[in-house]
Amino acid sequence: MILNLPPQLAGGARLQILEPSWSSPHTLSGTPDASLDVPGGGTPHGYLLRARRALDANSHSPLAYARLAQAAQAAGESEEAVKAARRALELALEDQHVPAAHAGIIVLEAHGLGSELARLMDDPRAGHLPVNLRLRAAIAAGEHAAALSILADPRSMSASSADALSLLTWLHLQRGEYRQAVAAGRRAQAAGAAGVALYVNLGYAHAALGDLPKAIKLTRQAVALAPTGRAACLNLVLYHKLAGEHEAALACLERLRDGQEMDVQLALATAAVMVYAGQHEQARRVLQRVRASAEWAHADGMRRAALEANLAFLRWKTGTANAHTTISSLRRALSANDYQSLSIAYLLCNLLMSSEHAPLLASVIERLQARHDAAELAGMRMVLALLKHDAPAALQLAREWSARDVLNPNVASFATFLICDLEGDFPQAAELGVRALARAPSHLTLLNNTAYALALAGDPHRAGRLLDGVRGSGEQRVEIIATRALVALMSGQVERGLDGYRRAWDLALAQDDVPLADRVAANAVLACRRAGLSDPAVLDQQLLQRLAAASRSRPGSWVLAERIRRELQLQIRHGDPDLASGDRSDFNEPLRFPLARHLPGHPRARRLPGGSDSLQ
Amino acid sequence: MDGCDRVIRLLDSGEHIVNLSHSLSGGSIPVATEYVVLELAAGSLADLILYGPAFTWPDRLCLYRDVVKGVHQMHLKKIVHRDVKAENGLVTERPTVAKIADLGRAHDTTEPPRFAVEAYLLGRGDTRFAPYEFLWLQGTQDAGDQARADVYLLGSLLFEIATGVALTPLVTVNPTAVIHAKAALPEAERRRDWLANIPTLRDAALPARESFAREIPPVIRDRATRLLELLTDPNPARRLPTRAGARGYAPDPWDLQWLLALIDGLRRAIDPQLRKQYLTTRTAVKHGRQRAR
Repeated sequence: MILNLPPQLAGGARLQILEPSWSSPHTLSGTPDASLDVPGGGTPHGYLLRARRALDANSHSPLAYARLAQAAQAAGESEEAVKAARRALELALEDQHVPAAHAGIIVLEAHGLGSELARLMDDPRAGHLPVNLRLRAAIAAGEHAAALSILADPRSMSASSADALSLLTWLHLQRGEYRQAVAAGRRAQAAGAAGVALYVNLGYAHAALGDLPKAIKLTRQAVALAPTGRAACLNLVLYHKLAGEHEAALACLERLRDGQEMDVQLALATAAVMVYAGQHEQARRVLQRVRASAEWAHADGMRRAALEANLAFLRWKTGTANAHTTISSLRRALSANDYQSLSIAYLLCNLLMSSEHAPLLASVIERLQARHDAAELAGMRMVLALLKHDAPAALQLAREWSARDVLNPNVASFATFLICDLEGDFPQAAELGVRALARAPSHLTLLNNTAYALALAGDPHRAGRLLDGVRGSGEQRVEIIATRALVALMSGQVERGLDGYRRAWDLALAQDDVPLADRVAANAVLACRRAGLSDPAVLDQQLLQRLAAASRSRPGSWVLAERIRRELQLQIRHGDPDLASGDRSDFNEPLRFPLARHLPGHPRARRLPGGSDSLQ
Repeated sequence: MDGCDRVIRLLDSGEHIVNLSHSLSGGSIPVATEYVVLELAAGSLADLILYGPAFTWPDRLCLYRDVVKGVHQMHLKKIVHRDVKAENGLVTERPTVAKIADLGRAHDTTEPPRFAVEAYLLGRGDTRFAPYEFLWLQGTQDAGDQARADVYLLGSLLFEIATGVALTPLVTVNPTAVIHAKAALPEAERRRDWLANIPTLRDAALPARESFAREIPPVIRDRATRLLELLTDPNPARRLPTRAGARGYAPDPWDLQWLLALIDGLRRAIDPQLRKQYLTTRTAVKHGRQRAR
């Protein structure tokens, strides 16, 4: 049975690809803030005046324009800087003046005008520019294909250089070409490259290909080169987390902390590791401590909003706040950072379960669209499609999201779940799940969903082997017990399978989770059907009624209802308290199932003592 | 000073009084002043850079050496300049010599600072040439660190003399924006961020070095590029040469003799006349020693 999706903390560490070495991550694009340097009365800086005078005396010199562009940029005179940079670039192309072209390109890029550099791709005069400058222009213009063709050009003498190959690694990563990225990275290493960015990016490529041990090894090398570099360290933390090595992940964070007070970013990363391990209360306490520390006072608005949002979320998860309050808190946090935080928005998605939340999510997406690339919002649009019960859109967006965010096991879990239950393409779901599981072997939801898909795709033995790896508290999860039951049924172990479903159902009821118990029952019916049991079951009216009601408030129940509709030809009318009507003419003739007599009319009233002896 | 007899007589007289006009009263206030007589410069290195290839490499290195020597002399008195750039290298015509000028940001490290560090860093500084650590508001507390910042500035000047443009923006893209972003961080976080960014900055400087190398004559290209790499290393502690096998050796950031010697080597490599002179002198010294024995 499919697990509900676990939450992912927002604003903490996310896997990072390091940009090419010349584009440092601290670089701020766009127009710089109003310069603090500008003196009262608007008097220009002396150096700017001198640069203007030099230009007057050398009005055709690309260098004079380049110097003016740099001076104006430093003085905060953006318009003048951009104008001079454009002219410097033009004259530099004419005169083949590399430094002036270099300065012009940088100033344009700094002002967010990288797209203007696209014209260099077709300009024959740009041929004399060094490969790295042409590459930079191509990347700033978003022309990754052009950048790749520059590197592939045999006339580019430096294309085989370590720098060019490091850049090629990054380019392939940007395009999701992980095997090519690894090949380019290895060539870069052979050519003598050994920078932090190369190791981090190679680690990322290996992780994306499902080789976590190699990713960890390479990222450790990056950390050795830059022990205090957060990007590499936090990537290492995430690889350890995905590999289920939570102690190692926490140890990395402790080293990063270096005996200092924990700051907001480290607290969020620590909490994320704890949440992954199911330690919600400990995670909440970590964040609460930072909330009361001096670090909070010094944190910027974005970090504060992320901390507030995560705290609110964990309060809800630990039962100290209700969903309504938490949704309000998350919306406040989003608003506080002017909808710049995607991760807070994704956190909010965890709470938007009812169809009634669809307008709210739609308005959040609309505001986010102004600040983020549409592709980054695929996951949110998928949740919106689920809330609107739009199966084709949800499936398409789940596929888009999983292709884009390959190292996020939650995404793969979603995609596996939807491809299974909405589309019934179990082999495809299993393939996607198995690939993703190599990247995050400890992710319980993904593991469960992949085993579920494998069992239904006709490979229950492989599914069983996957589930054999579940230990500890995971074994007591309702969904895991139910999926083990499915595997047993599909392997021909009928008694064991039915017993498993029975235990899962009991456990769900013991947890007072009636919708979950209903989903166990419905899954049991579907599993029996698929296993070809000769003695069909009863899917009783009350259960279907509850399922119909739940499908409005739980996307998981709606998806299950879709599967029931597809496999049993039962149409569950959403929100109709009278139930479910059937497309099938014989709907009123109940389906029979060995568990039928134990299925709850009312869960509390009909609750049976656990134990396999009560089943048959 | 031709034709300036009256001025010279006035200065000789010891009357160091100037009258400041007082706009409110309409009168004037006599004020005793100290004065300095300066040479009249023909221009600056920044003007010469715009001449392009006409500003020959032997001349560039000769004038660069002059500026390095000026900074070295300041360092001998434990004074840091903190604003070395082509515009502040004034050039006189007869003889053609470059002199480091504009000491507005200079500081005698034997005396306490006059302003808070932030006031200096966020003041009217020219971020085009700022050492990387200044963008993170680092490297200004310790006198040795300030001397190392001057070493970066000398590297930046070498880059500027070769390419005509400033190095720091080519590496950090927008130094002004960086300094403002980093100024907003708490001090401890800023320090951590700075240390974490040193390797990234080192990588980010590679393309700028490539642009530099393309402007340098092949005969000195490798040596000059290695020198630039050393002088402008993002880690201030690595801007000075080390001695192979000398463990525990701490180079003195105040002593720039090594840099002068390296520049002399570059000049000899590119200027046959200088090389000939050098070889002649060396041979004479050698013979003198042999005779003395």
